[in-house]
Amino acid sequence: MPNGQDWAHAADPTDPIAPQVIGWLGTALIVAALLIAGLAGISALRRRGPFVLVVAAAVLTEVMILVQAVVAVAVSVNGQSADEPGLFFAYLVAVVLILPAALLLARAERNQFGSLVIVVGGLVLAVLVVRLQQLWGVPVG
Amino acid sequence: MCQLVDPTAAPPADARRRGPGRVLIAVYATFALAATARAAYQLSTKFSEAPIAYLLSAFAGVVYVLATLALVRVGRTWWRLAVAAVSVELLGVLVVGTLSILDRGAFPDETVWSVFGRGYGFIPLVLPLLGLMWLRKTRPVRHTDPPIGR
Repeated sequence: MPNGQDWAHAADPTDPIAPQVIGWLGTALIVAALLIAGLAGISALRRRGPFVLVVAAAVLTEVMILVQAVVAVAVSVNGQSADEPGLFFAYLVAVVLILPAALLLARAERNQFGSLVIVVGGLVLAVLVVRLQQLWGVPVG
Repeated sequence: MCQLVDPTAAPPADARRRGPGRVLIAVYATFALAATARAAYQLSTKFSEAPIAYLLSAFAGVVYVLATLALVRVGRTWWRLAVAAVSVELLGVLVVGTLSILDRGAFPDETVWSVFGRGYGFIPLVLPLLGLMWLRKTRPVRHTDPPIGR
């Protein structure tokens, strides 16, 4: 979106590196979040606690989130920022905390309900990342 | 994992936050955070634009926080508070949902409960129903109360 009003505040269009980093990583995060929700959904259907694969995917996703968060902070320090920085960073904090919270909550419940907690966490994460991208002004998708 | 359950035994004291209750708590916690954060943002940045809608947002946030807390806590009193909070939540989403459709002017900006929670996939409409069903199922039995003063 070269002339977009969308990222007019977000970044200089002639220097698309920063928004692009955020953009593709954001898309990868949405895919990862839905994958976690889907895998956890399969564990739930089998009346099992979250598969090891689900936990591994969640840990990997959390690493991606932390990279995303560091990039966002670094870019913001360099002067570019979201349309509404306060709102953006509030969402960022929620995105960073959601998976650990879901894992912690699911840990004591080693049955399908533990898996369902992870499903909820994955879906919420996907929604939050979409909102994060909207706030940054990156085209979603 | 198979557990042997004695059907005559009293349910564990924390039955409300186990199994489906844990999923319910996860969703309630999400809405507590979302509604409270939304209200805090609206009230702090643009209160004068739509004071009624933003105050309602704040009220919804308080209701969700109370419901989450009451679902997590053990005991009869917290169970009663949970029933009260979830009932108010149901009433809130029905009243605000109806009003927001009848009189769009009164709600120039969205709240969690506007149009029965459309902005949140109508989950705010379904959640209190599930909550009340769960609370009914986990209603504390009087004889499970520990004897006092003996």
